[in-house]
Amino acid sequence: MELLIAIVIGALFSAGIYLLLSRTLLRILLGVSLTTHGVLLLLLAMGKLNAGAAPLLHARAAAAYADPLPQALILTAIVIGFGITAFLIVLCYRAYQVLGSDDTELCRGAENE
Amino acid sequence: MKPYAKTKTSETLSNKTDRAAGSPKTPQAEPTAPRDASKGNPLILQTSIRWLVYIILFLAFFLFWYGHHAPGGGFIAGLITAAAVLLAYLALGSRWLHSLDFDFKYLVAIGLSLALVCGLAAVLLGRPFLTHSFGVLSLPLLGDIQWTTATVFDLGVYCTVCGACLSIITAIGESGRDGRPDRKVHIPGRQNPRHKDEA
Amino acid sequence: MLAAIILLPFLYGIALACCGCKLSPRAGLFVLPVPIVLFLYFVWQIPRVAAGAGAAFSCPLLPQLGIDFALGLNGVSLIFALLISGIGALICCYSIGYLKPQENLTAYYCLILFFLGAMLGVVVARNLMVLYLFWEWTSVTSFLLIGFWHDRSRARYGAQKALFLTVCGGFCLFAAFVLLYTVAGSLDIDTLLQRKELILHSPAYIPILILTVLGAFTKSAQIPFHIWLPDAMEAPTPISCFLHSATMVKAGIYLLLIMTPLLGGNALWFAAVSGVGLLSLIWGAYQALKQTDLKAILAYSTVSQLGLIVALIGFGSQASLTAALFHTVNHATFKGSLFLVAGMIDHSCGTRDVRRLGGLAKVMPRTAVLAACGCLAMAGLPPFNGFLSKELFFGSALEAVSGNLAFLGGAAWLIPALAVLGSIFTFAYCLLILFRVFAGPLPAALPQTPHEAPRIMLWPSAILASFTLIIAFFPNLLARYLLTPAISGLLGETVRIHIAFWHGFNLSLLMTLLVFALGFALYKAWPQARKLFFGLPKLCSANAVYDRLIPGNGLIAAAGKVTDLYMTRRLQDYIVFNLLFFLCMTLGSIFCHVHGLRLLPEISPVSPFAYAWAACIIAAAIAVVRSQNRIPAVLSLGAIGYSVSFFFAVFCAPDLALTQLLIETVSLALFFLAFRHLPASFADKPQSRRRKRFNLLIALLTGCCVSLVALIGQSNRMFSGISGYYVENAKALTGGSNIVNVILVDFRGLDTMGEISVIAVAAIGVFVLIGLSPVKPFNRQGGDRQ
Repeated sequence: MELLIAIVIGALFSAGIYLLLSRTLLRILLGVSLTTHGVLLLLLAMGKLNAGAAPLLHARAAAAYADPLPQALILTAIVIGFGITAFLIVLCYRAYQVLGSDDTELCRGAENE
Repeated sequence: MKPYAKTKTSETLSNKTDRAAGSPKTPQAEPTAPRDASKGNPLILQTSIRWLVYIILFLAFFLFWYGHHAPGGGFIAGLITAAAVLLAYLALGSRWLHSLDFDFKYLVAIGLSLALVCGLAAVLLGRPFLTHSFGVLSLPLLGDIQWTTATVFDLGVYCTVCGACLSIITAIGESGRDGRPDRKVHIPGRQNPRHKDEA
Repeated sequence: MLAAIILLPFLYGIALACCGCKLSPRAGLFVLPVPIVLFLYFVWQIPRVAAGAGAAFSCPLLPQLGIDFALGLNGVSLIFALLISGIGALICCYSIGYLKPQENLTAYYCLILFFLGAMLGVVVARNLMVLYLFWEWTSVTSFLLIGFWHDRSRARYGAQKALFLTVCGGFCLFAAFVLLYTVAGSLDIDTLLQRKELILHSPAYIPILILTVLGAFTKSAQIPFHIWLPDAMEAPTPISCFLHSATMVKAGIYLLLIMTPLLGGNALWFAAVSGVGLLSLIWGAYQALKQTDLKAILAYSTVSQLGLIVALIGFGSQASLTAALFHTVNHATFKGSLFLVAGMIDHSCGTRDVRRLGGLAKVMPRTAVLAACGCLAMAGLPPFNGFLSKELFFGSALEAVSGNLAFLGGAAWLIPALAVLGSIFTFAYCLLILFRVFAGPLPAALPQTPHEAPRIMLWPSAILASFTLIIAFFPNLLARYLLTPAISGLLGETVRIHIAFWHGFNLSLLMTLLVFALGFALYKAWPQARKLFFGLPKLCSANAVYDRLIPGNGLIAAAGKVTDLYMTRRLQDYIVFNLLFFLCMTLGSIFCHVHGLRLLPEISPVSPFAYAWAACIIAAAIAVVRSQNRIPAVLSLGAIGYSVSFFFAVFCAPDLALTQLLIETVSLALFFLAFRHLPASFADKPQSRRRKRFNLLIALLTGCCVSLVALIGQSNRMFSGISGYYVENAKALTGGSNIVNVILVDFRGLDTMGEISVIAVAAIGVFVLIGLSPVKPFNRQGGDRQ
């Protein structure tokens, strides 16, 4: 399982970075989203997978619990990732409005900047 | 650059006529997203949404209340509430949103203040910032209720997440509507559109 | 007290900068008390220093490196401090009349205050690094002041040249100080003096000597680094007087003086320092003769007079060091007053060109008197203080022949000869300034009607000019209270200094008379001599070297080309740089520790559903990349998100699963809402094949690197984690059962508070971006209703 998830993380990152390096704004945005998903999986993989039951303390104590700390980190990461994605969407929208093009090659800085 | 120029011209010109006619404007080669989200929605959704919203809100409240002991909590509850309002917005349109007449940014502010007050209350009592306390309350009919001040903090989180999501959604959804014309800038013939007068 | 005095100008300058806009027309009056207070403080310190108990202050800054904020007043420092604060006060007074109220007066006076503080810091510092700090600070403020009228390209050029040369010299100085620290183990000047033998015999002695001397020469505008001083005349005239004749350029002199007991005393020092000094004396005076701009004449004359002082320091005897200090003070008085006179002429006539000026004595009598005092003092005529200095100079030159420079043998007689030559040129250009500008007929076509300068500008010049006479008649007042403690401190033994007008008929008097005669002859024969001078073949010009090397096509263009290599203005290139760096760091650190790491984790059993799930995610990722339309791409992204939430559910993270599910739904809704405003196309714009392959390579490399990190993270536990604490104590400390929620709102509540702040900021950002008023478009369709 560990090997499999490492491969999946790698695939997500590759796809995400490849999209990040493209010229269209929307593709860059989707690249960021893909990379974020990869990061979430990476964080979970850092805790032991298959360690035990869900981290909920019921009357019956389980033998072992899944690592709650990466889960808390991931929860934070999910929400903040959403905030970033929303902000980026609006940034792309605004950039397209102001610059008139979603091609980053055409929206390069001026020569003397 | 040429395709965009063509799109922009047609869009900006069609703005004036389309707003009057109320017909959806058409970007190239894309299925139309109607100007008013409620036009063209199935009647089933529009009818069922009225009681669906309350069910979803109840679910949100339930998940919020039991977040401390079961999967749930402020984040999830806030997102569910946001999803409920989003569903209603998609179903009933911006008229419903305006009739709601509520600025969701205030919800964000309320949430942040709640979280801060919860933390400062501990300081006023001489403990470190954000120290929580908990206990069990024995009520005659309802039995033992486990209370904790973390619920107040969670409420703050709930309000913030819900308010932030909704203000983002409404801002994006409402932009370009009446009151704020589509501000597509038409730059004839420029290869490198860069505004020098932008700071 | 001393530290407060040094910090006072800085704090006052900062305060002025903060509330300056209101004060701007009257800023000068607010600033004037500061240098006056400083001057009075140093006057008050005179008897203390004379008694050997000057103020001191020390406070450790970086004891491991030997850097203490150590300040101390001794004789030499006091002389310079009096000069700096006194002339600073006069300059502030003069600037009130010179600068128009529309100028950026706040910046001007702030910079003057900063410079004042820094220059005082240079002369009062007892720790070499503190001295270096203040040294560079004077360079920076000088740069800003030269470029005060920064809309003029000559001013920018001059400022850049000055900064470049003085900072290069400062860097040499820094290297010298570091070498001194490694050799002697201390940066404190007094400690270094005690370890003098160690320094003299170390192999690093010659580099230290050369670097120190380079630092001093660049600052004091000696050959061949003098080229910045004439171009620095683009600064306003009060600045030229303050910085570039009376104080900043004397910093090099100060450095040479305090290094004399440390590094001096051998042939290399004597030869180098006095050689360069004499060369500057002659070359500066020669060039001064050829100039037509009044300030340029004075600039080259400053180079020449500084060369005189440097040569005197190079001679190294007690008499010559006395003469050097004495001439430092005298030079400040007459050159300062001459610069102020040049400013007054510029202010009232509108031009500084000596070919166009003439006969001003009729309209500006008081200015003429002051100019006469300055010029005749510089020429070395009695009864001015310049005469005394010249006498001492010739006396020291003669003494050096048989004294410290005797190792040159017969060639040592060149020294008095060169001294005389330089003085002849000096005499000639002094008379030229005086008589061409003030005597003769008044020219008809001057840009402005010449009038007498206002009193606020006359008084500072008059005060300085009066000192040329006061010092001449009461030199021993100066000698007893200021020079004696200074020289005693330098040489480490108590000396007795007496300066007199008449030393009897001796060789130096003969040399003086020779200078008067030949100089007057040169002045009289100037039209013919001018042809001769301009006809001489041009030797290698330091200016040409500088101009080829630095501005325009030189260093600056090269720096621009290097920057253009990596600043391509393309977003993808910057991302690639970041990724490459990340790859290098991660892969590098992995390979450094590779023998301590296990690579393959214990493989836990995999169910077939896991393979299906993985295949689904990878397929969806490829679908996002390869899709040509935006809606399938976003739907594939949604599929990935839902698969991730499924993964969370399977691996016992129910909170995460719920959150991810909801977030993905809301994100999808957001994407579709925003599609109305975003362009329709999704396919990538055409990129070159090479670029595409490069992007693919980088992406795959990053993916592999992250996979590697995931594998290594899963297989190696460096230490037992802290999660056990949360699992054990959740119920006891918080009363909650959902450990994840308990961590979020209870144990790590502060982090969650930060997180909701981030989300709030994102929401506000979205609102602001959407609600921003539009940039004025070129072709507005429809009204703009906000």
